[in-house]
Amino acid sequence: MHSDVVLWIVVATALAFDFTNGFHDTANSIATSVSTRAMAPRVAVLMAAGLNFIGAFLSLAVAATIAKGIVDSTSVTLLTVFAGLIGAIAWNLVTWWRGLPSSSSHALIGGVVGATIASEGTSGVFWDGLVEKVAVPALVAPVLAMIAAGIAILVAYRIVGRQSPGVVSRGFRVGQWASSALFSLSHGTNDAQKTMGIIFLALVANGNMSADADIPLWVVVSAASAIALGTYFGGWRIVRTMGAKIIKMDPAQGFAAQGVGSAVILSASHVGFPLSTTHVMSGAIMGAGAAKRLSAVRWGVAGNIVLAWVLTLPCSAAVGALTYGVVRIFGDGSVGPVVVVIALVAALIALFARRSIGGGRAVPAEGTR
Amino acid sequence: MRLLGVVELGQIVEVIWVSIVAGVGITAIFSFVVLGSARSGEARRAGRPAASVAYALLAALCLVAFAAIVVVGVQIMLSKEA
Repeated sequence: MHSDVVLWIVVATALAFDFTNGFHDTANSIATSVSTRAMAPRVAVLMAAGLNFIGAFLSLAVAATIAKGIVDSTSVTLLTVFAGLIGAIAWNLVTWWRGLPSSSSHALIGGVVGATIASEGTSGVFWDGLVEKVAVPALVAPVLAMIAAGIAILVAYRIVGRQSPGVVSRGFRVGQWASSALFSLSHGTNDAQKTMGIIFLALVANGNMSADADIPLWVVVSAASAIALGTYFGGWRIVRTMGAKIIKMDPAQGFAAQGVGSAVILSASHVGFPLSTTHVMSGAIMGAGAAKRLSAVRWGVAGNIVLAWVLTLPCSAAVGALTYGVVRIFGDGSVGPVVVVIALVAALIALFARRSIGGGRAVPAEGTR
Repeated sequence: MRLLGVVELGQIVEVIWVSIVAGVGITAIFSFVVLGSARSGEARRAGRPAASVAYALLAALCLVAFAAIVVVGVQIMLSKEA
């Protein structure tokens, strides 16, 4: 009975994480299109949400066992998964509040690593796996995207340089519809799988299913719905950072950033070296701006973003470990997770109540919808 | 050869060159779509129908190439393995 309650809490928490993942990553799909006015904000989120939903059904490859090769799978319990999810959700919310794009996958890995360290000690973590799946991709993704987008925008300017700016802008705005759609679809095939994998693992760990069973349809539908809903709500603070605060971009830069972003992610996926969509898009936007003029990039904003990337793993790990510690105070049962969920929801309500009292001034970007 | 003892250097090199070729390629191809459309309109207004058709053809061919790249992208998404 207790384990069933814990299971359903884990499932609900996984869907909440999925929602924050979509919400957090809306910017990757639409920031460039919205800021260059290729699309109206509401149309952009509607399209991104729809394609994320469809994408979630297109690929059910459960490489989605996100922490595979990073923590000892025999030590993973429902409580460590729960604590890891709370670490990831907390980090996603903090970075959203600060308007900083950061990787939801790295936050989830950090949360699970922290919870595993709290439960098993450092021997439960495969450090080589952490370097391979987190550290190296985090170094490669933004630099590669920056260089590729820099070259791409210089080539684009060279090709269309003598044409009327109005015609060129209109053309690239049309292209942004395709690049944005491709990016959203790709996001759906990647990120919803993580949640499906976590729910599936929880069902297997709880003895509800065998490890070789197919993913139940309700898991696919609920994960696809959660990420699409999150995307539709849109993390507008991050959209504003990526779309307007890093560089003031023209439609050619927006297209180059998004086209290169899609190309880099799909190329890496093809080669079997998955990269963070957030790192790739942020790097591509910086590259598209820097190639035009180095001073076009607001390096202070870029520095804050990089700092958030560096802090993602340790901070989400710390929250994951702390959550696991708190949960264990109440034993193996469902009381601990219930207490943590109530505390998190209460903190969120307090945060939003404070924002409402402040007249919503803290969220200027919400008005862009 | 392995980087930091855990990541195949060859794999990273492949990601780098494939990404740069694909990223720059897709941007360049769509830039030719924009260029072809713009020049085709200019040529038509200037009363040069042959040039207008030639530029329109360039735009159309590049648009087909761009669409083909998008299809390849979707195929890569669909062929992901666990």
